[in-house]
Amino acid sequence: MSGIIKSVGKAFKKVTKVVKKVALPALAIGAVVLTGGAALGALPSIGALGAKLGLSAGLTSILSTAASGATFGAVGSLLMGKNPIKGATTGLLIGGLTGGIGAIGAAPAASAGQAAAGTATSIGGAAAKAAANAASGAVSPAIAAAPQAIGRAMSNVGGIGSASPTVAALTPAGVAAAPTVAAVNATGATASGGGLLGFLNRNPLLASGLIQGIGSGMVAGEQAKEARRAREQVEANYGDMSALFRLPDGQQASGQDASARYDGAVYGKVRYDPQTGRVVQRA
Amino acid sequence: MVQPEQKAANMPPATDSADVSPEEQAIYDMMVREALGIIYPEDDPGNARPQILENLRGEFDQQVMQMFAQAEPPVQQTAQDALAVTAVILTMMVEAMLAQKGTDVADDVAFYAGAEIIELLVELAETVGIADFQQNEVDDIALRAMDLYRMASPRVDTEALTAEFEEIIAAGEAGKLNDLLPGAEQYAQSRGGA
Repeated sequence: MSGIIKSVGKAFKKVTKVVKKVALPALAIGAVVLTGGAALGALPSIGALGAKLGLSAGLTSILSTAASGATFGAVGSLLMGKNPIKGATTGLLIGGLTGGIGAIGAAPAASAGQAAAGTATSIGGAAAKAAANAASGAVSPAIAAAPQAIGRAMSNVGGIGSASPTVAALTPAGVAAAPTVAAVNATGATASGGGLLGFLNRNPLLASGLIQGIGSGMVAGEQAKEARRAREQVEANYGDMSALFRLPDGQQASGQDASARYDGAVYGKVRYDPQTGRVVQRA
Repeated sequence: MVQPEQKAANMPPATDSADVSPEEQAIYDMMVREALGIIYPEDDPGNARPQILENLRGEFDQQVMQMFAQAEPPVQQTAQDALAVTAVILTMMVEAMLAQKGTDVADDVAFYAGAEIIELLVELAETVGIADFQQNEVDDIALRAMDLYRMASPRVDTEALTAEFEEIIAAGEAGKLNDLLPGAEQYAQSRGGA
């Protein structure tokens, strides 16, 4: 991922019309969340460190806002249990759509969904265990392996070190940051192919079926869509006369009247005799 | 209190899309529509997918939460965090679906399309009565989502992002922060940034 800073200020035309939008300056600060978080580690610590790092007052202010904004989770209003759903209607959203929802390429999505399901099934518990090990490895050994981790963190922020060599040493989060990246990279090493399957392979956590909410629903939905498409294809095949037999061009029927040839009265006068194995006159 | 949007009057006009190529816009559209297709199933576009609503209510598989185990502070059972996590998962899924079709999504396109996906989910969460977000909360959700995305996405290149952060530091030292991050400094001040 790169080019985020250069893209700040780009103005894509929105697909939908919504009431509440992310403020453009907040997106600019989002670029700091991405880049600063990657360079320095977890944001809460960074927010308090801006001034100590010798950064400009403006950037310190931005970092502080990035940190407080990205960590609101701790102070947000708690979701207490399962809120009653009044009925999920698209409301303004559908009205604001400038294009059709059905623009999605269905077949690849279906195959992607099936790939997801297949991978989740086949990898199963082993991947989950491996992923859990990777995740715990990224956390718990962080303290024990502090010297090495700090070393890696410092190498990651080498350029920043020139601005202030104390970055890594002052940033406890930097200790956790390096193993986090290492864990992601480690899973990436097993990647094969692209798309959802490749993505799942790069993320054993995903492959082990983690997306119970979104993933299973998507797979089920895509399977239902696929079944409907197959049914519609069958209906289309038999919806006209195109599937009926026709004589090749240049050939004509014998001219015998079909009604005479297959006259039911004629057939009524004969029968099959199983004793002789022949068709004989009816008695 | 003055809203951040009003404070950032010196931002470039949002309607000027001359810097966005038709190809970029097309992929952006595809990404948002893929997300819409997941949120609102094609066979029942009037209703959001129940699984998405569960996610917006903070009901995630345990392993989803493990993806963000490194989050600091940890992911909470809040409407904001639920929305941020849902947006990140959805964005990564859409990226993967497009990649499956052979469409490569540029980082900046994913950045902005992810923001619109957040807005879609905010709209949905409010429509069904899960939450009612203030403007600053919507912004915070975006910032939180970007931090979570940074931890979970396979496309994140730490070295490249670090190099970009160095550009920001240099701009700050040169007093050109507003050129690089238009409106960010004023916005931070309006939010009480130190």
